[in-house]
Amino acid sequence: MTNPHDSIEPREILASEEHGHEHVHVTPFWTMFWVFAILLFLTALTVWTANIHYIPVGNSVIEIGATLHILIAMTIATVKAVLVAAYFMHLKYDKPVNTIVVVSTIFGVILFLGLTLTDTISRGIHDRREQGEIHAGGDMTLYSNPGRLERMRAAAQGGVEGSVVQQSVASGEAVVQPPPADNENQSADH
Amino acid sequence: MTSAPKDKELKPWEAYIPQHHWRNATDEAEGAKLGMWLFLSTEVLLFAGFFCAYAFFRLLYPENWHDASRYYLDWEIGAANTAVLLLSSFTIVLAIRAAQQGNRGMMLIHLGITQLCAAFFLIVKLGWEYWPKIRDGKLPGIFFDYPAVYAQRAAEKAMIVAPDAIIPAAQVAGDYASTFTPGAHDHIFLSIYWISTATHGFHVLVGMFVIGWAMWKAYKWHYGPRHYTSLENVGLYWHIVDIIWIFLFPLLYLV
Repeated sequence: MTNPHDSIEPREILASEEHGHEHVHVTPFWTMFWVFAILLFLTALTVWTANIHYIPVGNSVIEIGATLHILIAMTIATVKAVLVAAYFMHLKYDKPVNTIVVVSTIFGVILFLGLTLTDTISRGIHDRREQGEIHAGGDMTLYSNPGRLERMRAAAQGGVEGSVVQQSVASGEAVVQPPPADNENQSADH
Repeated sequence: MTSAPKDKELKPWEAYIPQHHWRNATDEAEGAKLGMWLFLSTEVLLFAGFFCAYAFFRLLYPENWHDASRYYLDWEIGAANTAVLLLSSFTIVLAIRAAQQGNRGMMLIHLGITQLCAAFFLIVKLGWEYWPKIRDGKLPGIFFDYPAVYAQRAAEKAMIVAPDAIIPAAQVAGDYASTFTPGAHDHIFLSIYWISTATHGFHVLVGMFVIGWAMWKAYKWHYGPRHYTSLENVGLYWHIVDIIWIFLFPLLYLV
């Protein structure tokens, strides 16, 4: 017997003719090598960018803060993860069902992280609102009118004589009126 | 019968037939890979919990976390381990390529390199990261004891230098102490560092076992161009371990 594949035994027909890996996609070496090289380069880039805190632009500098550092590092890490998943983990060559699993997982992670973080982030705003630093209706009046926050606090704590807030409270300006109901439109809608 | 039965001359990967409930081996291989991907998605969600804890506490104490990363971790070690894990991912890809080409020797060599990289990762992690941290009291939660260890060292150094009377002992202790300012929440940073890296390290250890099992199967001629499903799945597992480290490294060591 020279070639075992010539056999007509049913067992071996199963093993050869119907076997799916007959037309196997052989992993290309150089593609994988360059992916590996890019991954190493991106690792070096992450380390390099993490140690840059100022970029000189003309006569001034751009400061790279912690948030921007995280964004840069996570962007590079995501690119690396996508490269590993698409090439090393063969997602690029596989049937799309595996990619669907991955995308669903990432969706789950985003839900998980996103909902937790929106809560955490907005808690700070809630605390500031409780302390009277932020008021419904927006921050912009406070920012555009320096000193108003202090005057409002003083007014809230019993009042500074002659302060703007007290005057406005006394004159009824500070009372927020509900917007006038548009009866005509409502009746037209319903 | 002069010749031996034909099955005896077939290598296990040549004689492999799929389980009877599969239509053919392609379906079997793809089904196995889909199952592996589903398992990997649970792994990702497991680590997502740690990332969530990281993000939560980092938002609460941003400066403290930035300083803690600088004080307690060496980015050089993390970077070396990242490079080693990337190399091991590359070599396990080459091992699968060797299986597709029926090259058992290259498959064993590449799996061996992967195994060495995994061992390097764990030895560096235990010997150069965990052991010094345990010795110095850079431990999670209530076990955190580094400020006390540091103060004791400053005192010892001052006692050594003081007899020369060139620099006052108090100044030496002061200089030494000024290089370290403990943050109020360092123990939380270290808790998340320990739980996430230890869970990842455990996955590397499990990876070494499954790669060892794959090496044994490769040695016994179980992997060839027509059958290498479990080798592929071992590779997928190893890559997810790599991807998790790709995210852990910058978050813990750099930013």
